[in-house]
Amino acid sequence: MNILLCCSAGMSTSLLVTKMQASAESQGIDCKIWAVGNGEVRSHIDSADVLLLGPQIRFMTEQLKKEAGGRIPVAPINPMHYGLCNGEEVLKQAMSLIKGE
Amino acid sequence: MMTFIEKYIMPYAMKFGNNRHLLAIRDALIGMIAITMVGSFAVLFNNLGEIIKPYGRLMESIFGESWKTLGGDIWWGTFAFLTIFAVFGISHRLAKSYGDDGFEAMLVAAACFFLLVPQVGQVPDTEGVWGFIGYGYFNATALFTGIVVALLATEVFIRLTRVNAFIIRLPDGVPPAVAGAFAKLVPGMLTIFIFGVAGLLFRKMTNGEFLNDWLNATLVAPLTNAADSLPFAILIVFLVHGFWAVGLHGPNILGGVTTPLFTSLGTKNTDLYAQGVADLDKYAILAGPFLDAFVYLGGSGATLGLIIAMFIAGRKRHKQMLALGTPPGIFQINEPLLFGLPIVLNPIWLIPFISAPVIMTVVAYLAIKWGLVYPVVVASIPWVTPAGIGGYLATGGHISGAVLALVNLAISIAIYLPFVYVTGKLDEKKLKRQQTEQTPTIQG
Repeated sequence: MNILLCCSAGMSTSLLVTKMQASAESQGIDCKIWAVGNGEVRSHIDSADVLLLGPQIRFMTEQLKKEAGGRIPVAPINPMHYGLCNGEEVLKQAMSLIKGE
Repeated sequence: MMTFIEKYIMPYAMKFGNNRHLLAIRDALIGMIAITMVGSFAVLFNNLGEIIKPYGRLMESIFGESWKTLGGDIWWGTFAFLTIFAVFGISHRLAKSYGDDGFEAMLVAAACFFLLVPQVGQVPDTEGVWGFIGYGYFNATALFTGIVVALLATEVFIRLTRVNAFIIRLPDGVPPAVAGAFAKLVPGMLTIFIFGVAGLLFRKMTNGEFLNDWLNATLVAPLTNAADSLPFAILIVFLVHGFWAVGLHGPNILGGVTTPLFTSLGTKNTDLYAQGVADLDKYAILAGPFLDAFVYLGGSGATLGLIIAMFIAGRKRHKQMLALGTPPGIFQINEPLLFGLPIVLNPIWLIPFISAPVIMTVVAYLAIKWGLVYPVVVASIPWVTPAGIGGYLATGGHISGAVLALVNLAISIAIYLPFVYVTGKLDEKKLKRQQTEQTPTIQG
């Protein structure tokens, strides 16, 4: 399972990556999670199973959905979970998106 | 409230933040960061010798009197040719956004740019010598021309590649790479031809004036003058925080407009500094990392001031937020605060969040304008540089830059402090009300 996070520079989402990885590890879930800036996200889409956007760049959701061509789900992260760096909830969101819920 | 945002603000955010031309410019200029940063630091280290005398003497004793040659060479290789990198980068990015691989587009756009450059160099004591080019046609002075030519040339090229009649079909046995080059042969040649004719016609119409000189005189100079002003600085800061107020990344959305402008003003300042120009009035104020160094202390909204105010007046209440927000806040990252506190869509927090940066912009702008603080002469510093250090580096190692950043930090603390206090009182009241409301049910 490959989870791609994206924000303006890939900095603030990388805070979340660590938390999500910790949560995945404690639950025994095997996945790759990484964060990039919106300038380079296009070249990463192909290797991801889901793309989550920082709420501050949610205006790019439609655009990136188009670029993903419907192959993977693209969605903004809940601002509250994002701000509090709630890795567990965001991981849950990513997994339910992959399952297509 | 949310529907209002989705209806009225999101379309503008999408227009600005997703416009392919603005994105191509922004991403190309940001992608050039290695070039602008090493050039900036080369100039910085060369000039520090004048400010910190012992350092200058030390360098001279180790490397001899010509110790500045290396820095000068690096400046020459980066800043003196800044626009060329921009032309390549912008056309590559723009072509890619159309699904092209961007390789041929980049080369064609560069040819279009070069063919518009005057071939007779202005050499003193001559009438001009053919074959000499002034570097003023390649450095930041030509940036606007470079952007315009790169965008236009790429647009023309991409449109021509879509015309089926121009595609030369090769037999099946030909390797794909060869076939690919042939597919863009006619469009590439035509684009360059069109620009050649356009350049010629332009010179005929303007009595031999070149595009770059004309653009600079009629458009760039008045525009930059208008942009490097206090009202424009306030407008930008206000818009950035207006977008953040509804949870959208303001600097990212407006980057297509602000990045080329600040880069151009910043690199011009670095060029002046490299040449040792002492007249501070010649330097632009709203240049390069001005906002990062003096206004966005701790991130947009100058939230380092908020963090410190919380430490002063709300340590217990904001324990979790401080633990989450302080470490990234030192490096100018504040999304945890913006979405966690939250500041976004919170009418009380938005008052200091918008007013503090606006006031700090005014203070910083006037302090530089009145000559109290050295102008921003280093075109590019990492935006994660902590508050104070950023001000010191951006002004080319002048203490006045660090002092200004710290004064602004103090201002932001003073503005945030009452709000930390008031929200604390409000929370207490809410808690009490909840307790009194709950008491009867517990008894019952």
